[in-house]
Amino acid sequence: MSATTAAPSKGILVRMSQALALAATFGLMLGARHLVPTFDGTLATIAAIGLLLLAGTLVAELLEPLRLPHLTGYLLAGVLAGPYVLHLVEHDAVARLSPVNTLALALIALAGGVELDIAMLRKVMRSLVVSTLVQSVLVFAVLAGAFLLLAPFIPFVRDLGSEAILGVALLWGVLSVSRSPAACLAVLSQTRAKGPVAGFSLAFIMTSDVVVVVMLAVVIAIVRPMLVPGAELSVANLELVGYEIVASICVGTTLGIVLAIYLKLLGRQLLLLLIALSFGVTEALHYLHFEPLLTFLSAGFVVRNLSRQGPVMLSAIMRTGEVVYVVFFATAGAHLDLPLLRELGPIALALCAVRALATWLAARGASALARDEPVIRRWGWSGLVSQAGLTLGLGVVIERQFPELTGFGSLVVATVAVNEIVGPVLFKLALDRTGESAKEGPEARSSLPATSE
Amino acid sequence: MSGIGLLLVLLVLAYTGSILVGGRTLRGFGLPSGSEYLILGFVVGPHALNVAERSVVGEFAPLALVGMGWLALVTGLDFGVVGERSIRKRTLAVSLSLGMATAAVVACPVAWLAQARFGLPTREAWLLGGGMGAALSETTRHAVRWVVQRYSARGPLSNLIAEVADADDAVGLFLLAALFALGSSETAEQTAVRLGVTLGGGIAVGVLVAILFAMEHRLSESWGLLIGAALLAIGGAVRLELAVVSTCFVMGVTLSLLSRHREEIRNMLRPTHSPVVLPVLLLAGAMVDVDVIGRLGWLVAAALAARVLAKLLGGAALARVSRAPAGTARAAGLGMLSSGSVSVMVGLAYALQFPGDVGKLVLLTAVLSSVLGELVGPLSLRSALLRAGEIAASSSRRAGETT
Repeated sequence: MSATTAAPSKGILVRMSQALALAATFGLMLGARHLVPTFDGTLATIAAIGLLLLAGTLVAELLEPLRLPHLTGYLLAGVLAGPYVLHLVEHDAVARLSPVNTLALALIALAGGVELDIAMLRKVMRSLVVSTLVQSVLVFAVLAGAFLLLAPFIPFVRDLGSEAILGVALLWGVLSVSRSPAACLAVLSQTRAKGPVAGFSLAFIMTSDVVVVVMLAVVIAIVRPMLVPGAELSVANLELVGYEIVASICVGTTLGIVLAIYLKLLGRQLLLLLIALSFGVTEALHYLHFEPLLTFLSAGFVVRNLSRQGPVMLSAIMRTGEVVYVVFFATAGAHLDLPLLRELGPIALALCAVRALATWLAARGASALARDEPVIRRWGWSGLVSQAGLTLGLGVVIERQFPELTGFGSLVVATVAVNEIVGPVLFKLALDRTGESAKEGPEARSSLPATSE
Repeated sequence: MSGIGLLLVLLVLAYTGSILVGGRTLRGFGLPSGSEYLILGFVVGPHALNVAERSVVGEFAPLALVGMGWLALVTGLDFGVVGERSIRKRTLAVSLSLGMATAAVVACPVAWLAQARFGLPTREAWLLGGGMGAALSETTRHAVRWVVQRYSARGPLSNLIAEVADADDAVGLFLLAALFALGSSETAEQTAVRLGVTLGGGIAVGVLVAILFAMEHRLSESWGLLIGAALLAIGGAVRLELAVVSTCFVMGVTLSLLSRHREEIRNMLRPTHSPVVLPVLLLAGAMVDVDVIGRLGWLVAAALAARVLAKLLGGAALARVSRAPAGTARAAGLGMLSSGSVSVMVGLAYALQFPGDVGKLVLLTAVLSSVLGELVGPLSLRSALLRAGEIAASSSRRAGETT
């Protein structure tokens, strides 16, 4: 452990010790499971958190020589410990870990907001607007089309009428537009990258969240008559979405002001404050049917741009987040339904490939239109491939709206699994290639402080 | 109350604790043993005002175990260290001997009384006596440090008492491991294996973390490793029905002994003590069941009386060893009556592991000892140190004026 510098490169002995430590960790848990096979309840969940944290950190360390992002290590640790491989974290424990997702998503949105500096946004505004438009339209259209073409091979839509299939395809198109703020921030946090690709990706992904939420509401309203017999196109739903978005931004702005005042006047116990805020405010927002992601994003944006407390806030979020992200992604790994992935694998892979291609084409086109600098033209798409919690959340919303679409959620999980694994690797590769990743040493990205203070 | 509601209450408590207990002085605002939080917990708990109902208190229990495990880890990391210096080996031996003697002086009469006068089966009687002995063996380091720092005490007696108070935590926590092993085993071999696994598990996880820390981790990774390892140890101990606090304490001691980053780890973890201890004390207070007093109250009285006797004898021994002036011994003994978080942890762990009369009595005794110790301990210790000439009269007056 070093108090002032970033991690130095580690030798073979260190890696071997880490591998042994990982084996010992799994060995201890397997031994305990052998002695007492049944163990559930709150404490089983707590033990699962411990295992995922320790194993996630170790697997991430072990994958470092391959230049893979830590996030991939966390996912892999979750897969290994999860209910399909070693059975150390069972399904009920995975389900009980959902509060970690609440905490992680709130922290991610807050951090995302704090990262959005008005000056930086102004600089990339033209790119941002053009890219958002082109990406949203092109990816939406291409993926809806691809879904229509592949429909005969997709079990749960095979027997639907053509209008219903078109409806599902449009829903799939919207889901494909969503990105992963969590993966983006986790990779940026690890690499402490600073530069045009890092800045553009962050700004694009955070703002595109808002676009996706609006698009989904519109498309749900449009496809309802296609999927639900007797249903009609309702403008009231759109009004409701508009109201929710404005209200979420208002609540977020108020929260941001309160946070900024707290940071200025007291500024103590930020860890406890962040945890309490994440759970308490999210619960209240769910009750009010407001959008937590947008609320926290707005709050972070206000803290960054209307006060001087942004760096303090970001530092606290990152300190908390470093631990929370490990559990969040490791839980996601444990959640991966491997048999389902095998079953829907070919379809999921095809859809992911088309999405990646559409994203790349849209990025090239948008960059040409916006006359972006060459580095963004070449690598700007790399951060946009990842999908994770947000997409899964939107998938759940669609399933709730159209419960008759059994199997839709499974396909979402399968494609997210692929994008979750491939996306971060691509993004980190791009940051390394462009030289935006921080070199090992004390220098660090100013807005994402070195975590080794 | 929903899970989120519970969590928010806990977080508010932790926040309050960090402000009140971790304030400007050693323990900030409040009493050195934290007894007021025990009393507050009792008042709002199911046996007084019933603001926190029995079911709600029960829902907190797993989180209390995690909190206790974490506190035990922090205690283990600090074991054998007073301020910046390590405790001398001779003093360590004296402390452990005094702690064990106190535990024995409490355990034997209680077990005998429980068996002979109240008809408890032998095994249950010894579990009760042992539990009370384990809970009452410590002198809380916080109260001693509070007096020593508040009155700027300096000298052999204050040094010795501070070191003893620091080192005797181990006795209660090791005894707890043995008693838990005894309580859930049928044979002596099983007991030995369970005790071995309790201590061995803590050592194994401690070694694991020490090795990983030796490899130049960033601070963020260190938090992940520490929290992960602690939760893993807690979960494993609960799964195997072992004493969580003992395993975590051993893990802390092992880490402190083996890691060259021990100082950095201590500095990382010390600030977490305050936010964790308040919810644990409040919960312990809320779980106190006074109904047993009517039937078995004499056992509690016997345990507390035995503790006073043992501490008086211990005080005499320490006064002699430190060559304190005549007349210091009694005050020094009474000054060592303060008990705090370790006693309460042992009591609460017992109450959670043995939910019947045995657990209730041990927790009640630990809480009463903490409250009584608060009334007698710090004042007596100040008096002893004044008589020993280790507190200047002016310093005592100044501290009195600011109280």
